Amino acid sequence: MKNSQLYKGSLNTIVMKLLEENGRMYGYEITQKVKAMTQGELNITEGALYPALHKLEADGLLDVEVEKVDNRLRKYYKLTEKGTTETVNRVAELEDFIRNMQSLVQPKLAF
Amino acid sequence: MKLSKEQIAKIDETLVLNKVVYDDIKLELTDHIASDIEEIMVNQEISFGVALKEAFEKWRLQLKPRAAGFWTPEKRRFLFSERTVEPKLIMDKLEKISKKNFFNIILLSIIITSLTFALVKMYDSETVLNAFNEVCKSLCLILIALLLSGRILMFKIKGATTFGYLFKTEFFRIIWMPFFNLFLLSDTDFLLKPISNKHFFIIALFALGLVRALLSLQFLYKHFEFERKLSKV
Repeated sequence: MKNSQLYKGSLNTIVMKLLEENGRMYGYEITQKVKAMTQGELNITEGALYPALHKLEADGLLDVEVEKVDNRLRKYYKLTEKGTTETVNRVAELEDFIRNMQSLVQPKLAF
Repeated sequence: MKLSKEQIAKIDETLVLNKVVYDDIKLELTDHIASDIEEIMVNQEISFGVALKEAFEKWRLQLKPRAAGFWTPEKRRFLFSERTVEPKLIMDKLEKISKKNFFNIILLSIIITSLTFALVKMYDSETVLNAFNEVCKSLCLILIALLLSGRILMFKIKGATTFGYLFKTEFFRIIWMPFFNLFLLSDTDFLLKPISNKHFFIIALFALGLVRALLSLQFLYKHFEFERKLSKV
């Protein structure tokens, strides 16, 4: 996607939704999952992903787990109880937003 | 293709050279860059050295040095000393946490000041207010013990996290606050004085000191919690 400004406001919700569906994920996995799901259209940069994860963690919406994988330590993120509730609200907000955008971009014709 | 221990150590070393020294950030960057290198090496069939440069290039902006801003507590002791500089990714994280902490301090201080005033107005009895005074004194003593033992433990247990940085930089600014509160509480009439502007100011200062010291403990807790998770691996 050329205009990354369009998804910046929704990045936190995208991350939370992915974590809700997958249980726990690590940073690189999130970038690859988004790339695969959007056939390479959406590319979450490192500079956008980690500040978002750190903010969600500081807000108490995410918790971290550390594990040793392939000669290195891996930090997994997962939703906290508060985060799970918040995900439902934020996804509903995002869906409303998409619906409104659709009606603005492709208004239904009156017959 | 999985990277060897030596190759992982090289990534770690490069991060340290770029001033990424906090465990909570360094380990996830090491893992991210290692995963990226593994993919680059397979897709482009290039050597580890070339892939390392390509992977780090993506982090150039995030690793760029950034001076501490208005919200970030600094390592410097004097106003005219050099400003603290950290990689942008780290400085951004420190700034976000500090900003949130600042607003929490203000909000909680207002609540505690209002509650103290409400208590003084509602219970104009010496027994109740003396009991409240004793509770506050105990709280200050517990705070002093926790802050000092936390700082000593940080000396003994190796490991650095962004939360540890925040606690360390806050420590010398806040350690005197519970002592100041104890000094205020040593005046047994502290809470019984007639309500005036001066008295309001002192109670607000008391609440601010109490809350700031109390909230700095969350940094200490998060630091040790992360180090505990690391030690279990």
